[in-house]
Amino acid sequence: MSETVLPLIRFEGVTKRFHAVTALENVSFDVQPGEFLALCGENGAGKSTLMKILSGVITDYEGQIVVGGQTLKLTGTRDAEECGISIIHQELNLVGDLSVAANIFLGRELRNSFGLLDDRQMEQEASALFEPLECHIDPRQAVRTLRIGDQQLVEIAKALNSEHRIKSRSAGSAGQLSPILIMDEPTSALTESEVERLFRIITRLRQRGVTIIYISHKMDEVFQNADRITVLRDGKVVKTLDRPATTPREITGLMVGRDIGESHFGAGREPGAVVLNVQNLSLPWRGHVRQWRLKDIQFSVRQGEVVGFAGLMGAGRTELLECLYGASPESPMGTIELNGSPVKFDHPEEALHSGIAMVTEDRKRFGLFTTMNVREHITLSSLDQTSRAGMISAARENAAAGESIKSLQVKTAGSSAPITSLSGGNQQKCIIARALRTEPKLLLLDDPTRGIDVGAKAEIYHLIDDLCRNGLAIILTSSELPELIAVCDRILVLCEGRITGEFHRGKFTEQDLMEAATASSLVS
Amino acid sequence: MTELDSSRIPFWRRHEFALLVSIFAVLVLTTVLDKNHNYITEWQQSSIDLSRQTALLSLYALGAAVVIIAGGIDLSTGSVVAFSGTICATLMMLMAPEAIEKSTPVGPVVITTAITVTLLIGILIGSLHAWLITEVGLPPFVATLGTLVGLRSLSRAIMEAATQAVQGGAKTQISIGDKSFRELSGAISGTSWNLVILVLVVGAMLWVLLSKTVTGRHLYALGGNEQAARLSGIQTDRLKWLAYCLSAFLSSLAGILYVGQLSVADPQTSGRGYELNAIAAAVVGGCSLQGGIGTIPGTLLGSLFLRVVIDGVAKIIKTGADVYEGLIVGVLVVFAVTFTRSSAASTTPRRLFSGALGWVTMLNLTLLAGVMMALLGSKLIEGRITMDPVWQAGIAAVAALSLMLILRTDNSRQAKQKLGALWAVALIVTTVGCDMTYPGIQRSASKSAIKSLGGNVSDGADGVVVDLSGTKCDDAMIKKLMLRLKYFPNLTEFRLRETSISDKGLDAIFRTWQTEADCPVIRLDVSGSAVTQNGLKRLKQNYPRVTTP
Repeated sequence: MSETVLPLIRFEGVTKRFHAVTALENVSFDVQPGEFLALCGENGAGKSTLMKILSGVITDYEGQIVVGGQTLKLTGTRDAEECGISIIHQELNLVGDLSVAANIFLGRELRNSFGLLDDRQMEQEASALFEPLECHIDPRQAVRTLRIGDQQLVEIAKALNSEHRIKSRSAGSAGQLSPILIMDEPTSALTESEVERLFRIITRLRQRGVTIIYISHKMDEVFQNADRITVLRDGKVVKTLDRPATTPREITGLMVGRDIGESHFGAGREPGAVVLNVQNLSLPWRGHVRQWRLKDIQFSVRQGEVVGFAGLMGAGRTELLECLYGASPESPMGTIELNGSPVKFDHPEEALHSGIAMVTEDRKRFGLFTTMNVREHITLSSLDQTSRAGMISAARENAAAGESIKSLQVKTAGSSAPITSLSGGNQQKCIIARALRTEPKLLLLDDPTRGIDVGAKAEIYHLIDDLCRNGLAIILTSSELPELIAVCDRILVLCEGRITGEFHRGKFTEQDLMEAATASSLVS
Repeated sequence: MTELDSSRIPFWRRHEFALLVSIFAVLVLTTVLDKNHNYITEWQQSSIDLSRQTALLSLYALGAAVVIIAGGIDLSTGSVVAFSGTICATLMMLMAPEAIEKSTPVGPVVITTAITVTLLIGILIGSLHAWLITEVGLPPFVATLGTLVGLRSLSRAIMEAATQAVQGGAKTQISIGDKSFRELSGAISGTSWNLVILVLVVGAMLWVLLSKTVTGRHLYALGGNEQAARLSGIQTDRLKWLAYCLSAFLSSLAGILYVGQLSVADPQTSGRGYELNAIAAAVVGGCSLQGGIGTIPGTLLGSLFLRVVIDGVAKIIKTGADVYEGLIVGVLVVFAVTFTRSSAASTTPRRLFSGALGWVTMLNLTLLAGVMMALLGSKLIEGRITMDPVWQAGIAAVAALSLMLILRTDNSRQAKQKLGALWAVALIVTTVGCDMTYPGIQRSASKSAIKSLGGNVSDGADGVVVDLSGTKCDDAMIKKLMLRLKYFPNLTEFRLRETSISDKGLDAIFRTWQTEADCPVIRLDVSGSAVTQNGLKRLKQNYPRVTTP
């Protein structure tokens, strides 16, 4: 550790309260110029709040932040960009209907000599920005039509653009500060190959002298890249460690305040009779070169078995589950047999009645009712059980909700608490409870642990294991391979709408799965 | 075992309670401020009027609320009211043409058939909305905007065609004189029991539907997050069908009752703008336009609150209720939504007047304060203040501007509170001060005006003498002068010799005071002016105390 280098950023006693809740308490630590600092902590530990302060999203806080020897006084994100600080939020900040170029130059549009928008110039510069990012995104394309991984690259290009601008403005002036790029869980929506690409980009950025503050709770990513790791817990800095001097186990231990082992589930589970049998399932994709979202899918799921679906973003995992659940925009071809008899669903209601329940991806958009309370969330899909002649029995509904809260260990102030008052993990448990209360024979879980913290993830793995041992058939998708490997009995790999691999417990490695997931793109 | 649930919202913190308190406060305020104390002296008539209007508003506001809770919007209410009225009246005319023309009873069969068919057509309109929204895929705003515009025109066309066929001449309205039909809305007996009971029954049924049944829970889920609702196994399209049918059905019911109340079906005027009143009542009653939030009791209280405020303002300032109705509804909606939003979630205090828009907004609100004071000031504080509307408007505008300047500053909350108190004291002192100096200023202004004309104002033996003899003063000038001269309490003598003042000018002088007893003038000299003998004679009849040389 060299004491001679002046820290680039020094947090001094930063405290932030939201009414009664203290989000950050007396946070003090340094960031060295040019380093890769990983900021770890469970959800709600205060990482995002801290970075929102640094990037000017939150402007009222106690304590101070010194950047390059000067106290930072920000009045907004624009100010932060002027200081060379850009942030890539967990939830992307893009305007879906505008073009890629328009998004990159949003708020600092280029104009031609008439004072009108110079689209040509912006598109050229946007292309130039994508060049070092190894991707070929058409700057005229609407952002909405891009995959999440590419959308994120647009965010990065946007950040690089502002950095570029600062450089060109202050070119020649001595003592220029290193630009700072904050990334808030950038890989949560990325496929493995996109993650690899992101890391290569990060390496390149570091060669150009960019300081990176990286928020994540994925240990492999952190240990692959970080110089130092700062752990936050309950709004306080627990410890800052040099990467070589620590282990993932120690960091996760510091994050949750307890030791959690890397556990594997499924030992001694015995699959029973076939519940679901899918033959030649295809879903057309009109007006697309691929023509098929899904093509000739064949597989079966047994009682007491967890079948995982791996695949890159856009491989068709969600589409497949939607077909099984009757939620796809158009009906699939092929046959789906449930308990031996063919079924065809036009609406999720029919699927639920036949015993298939689904926990959807993207909790906020497809799962959560922000206007409802915990009880209403849990019972919504199974109100028939708690009502007579269409009238809901309050007592029976309360009992049902209470039972689920207890058995899934949902942490809530009460069954009438607003769902928004719960943490992400507990919200997800309520949504799983909603599916389970319909007493399904087959449960579809579409990336159920996305965006929830380590502790809650472990609880959900345990829950999946328990349900499976009680005879439920489960299909699980995940964008994290280790998760699938830990939980599943069998993993099927999807690539561009086709099944390109099948692996059984004990025989899957991340390497094999990755190869299968990228198989057809290697061929073509 | 029942679990003690601390997360329930207590009644006194609910929106409905706040509305109840507000309604009570407005009622008390109206009773006190209304100079005739109508709510006490004519409490029966007042309560009948109020409850009848509230009942009819509630009826279609409840429909709007159901749609809003389900995450949609129904803009067609007003036209459905007009359309159903037209259909009902037309059907009655077709079935009993002679009875309608002669205003004799049409019989219960005709009435029942007409009403039943009209209500069924209401359901058809709701189904049309549902089809446009769920199958065609139009946004609810567009679908119901289409019927809002289309149905009114269609009702007029039907009306003209039907009257042409039956009565031999195209008419734009049909009068319904049948007593038993009109009594449905209490128009004959002059009561409102029918309507109140009807609304309470409808309200109770909808309340049970929304808060006690599976369908109701699904409606809330649909409004809260449509995609999540569908993925939870809810048949969202069927629910939308139900919601839009309920709305159109209740609007039709209201349309029929309006025909009974007004005894005429007029597709051009009836129900105009009701859709916005309905939405306003629902929003004031706590429904969120984002969907998923709102209650039936809240909507009923929201309707009552709107009507109570409209009625109260009409009573206090003594104008027709409809003059300020739109203004009141607009202001209340803005306040209601602002209030419910800010109490729900705001971590940092909002800055209301920052930046360039802040300056323009301050100008906006300053002008508004001035205009409102000029319009309403004299009516609100009549007799207690001597200033004219222009001065009142000026003071109101300056007061509003200075208050906003205080709010705009970066001072802390405490400092702002202190400044606010200071502002209030300064406002009262300035107003009272202005009001006291106002007559003096007017008197001296009139003096200098008369001097510039070549006249003179002097103190005579028993009061003020205005001498305009030999000046160019004419009728128009004297009329203008009187606006200021009236502030002399003891204006005893007018000398108007050799002026061009005529009988009209004389009238202008004496009309300044409302009664003969108020008039302080006792001597008048008009010799050589354009005043006729006739005019003088008339004056002396009306003002016997006045003497002329």
